[in-house]
Amino acid sequence: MSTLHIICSRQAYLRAQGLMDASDAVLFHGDGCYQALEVLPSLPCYWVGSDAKARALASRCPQKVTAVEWPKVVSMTLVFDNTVTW
Amino acid sequence: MAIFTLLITDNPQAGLHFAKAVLAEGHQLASVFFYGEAVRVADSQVPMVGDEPHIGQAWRDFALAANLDLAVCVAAAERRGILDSEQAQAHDLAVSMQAPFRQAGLGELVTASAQSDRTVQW
Repeated sequence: MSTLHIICSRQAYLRAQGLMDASDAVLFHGDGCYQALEVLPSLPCYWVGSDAKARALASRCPQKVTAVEWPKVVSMTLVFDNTVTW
Repeated sequence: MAIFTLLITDNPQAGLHFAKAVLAEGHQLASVFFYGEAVRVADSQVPMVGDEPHIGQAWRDFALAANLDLAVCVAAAERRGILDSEQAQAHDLAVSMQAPFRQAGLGELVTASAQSDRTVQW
């Protein structure tokens, strides 16, 4: 079963770590975008581009992170079997 | 088309972005349920402050435009003094929750979730 982990803060990321499987992915939004600049899991990673832009992070988007907007977030929640908001 | 239930607990702003995208993409919202600290969004006594965004008003505008009502956990709201007319009368306090927000119980969240393709928390 694949899970989309939704991360809005460093604390949320720390809670989610260790509970991610190989088939999962991670979505950073809000202040969680700061976490995407640090250590990333070896999973597909996404951030909400407008949230990153609002924090002046857009130009620092790590190569491993794909920027998405809300319509794509909606479709991602349908692609994965489950979502967990940390 | 998919049916979504949204549980809003911590990030009403992100939840609003997601809710708008759900409808814009042609999906359906079975329920939007506010719980925990997020019930403060329903407090009609919070004034607009300068040019700051007012998340409660943004949710109100969205719900009215989309013809939705917004379910608010009755216990979480009452604990924070956010009262509809019936509760306000019972406690002899001012009304602080108005449509499109309305009180609801957790059973309603469970039912909506069971009838939805996805329940997403924000």
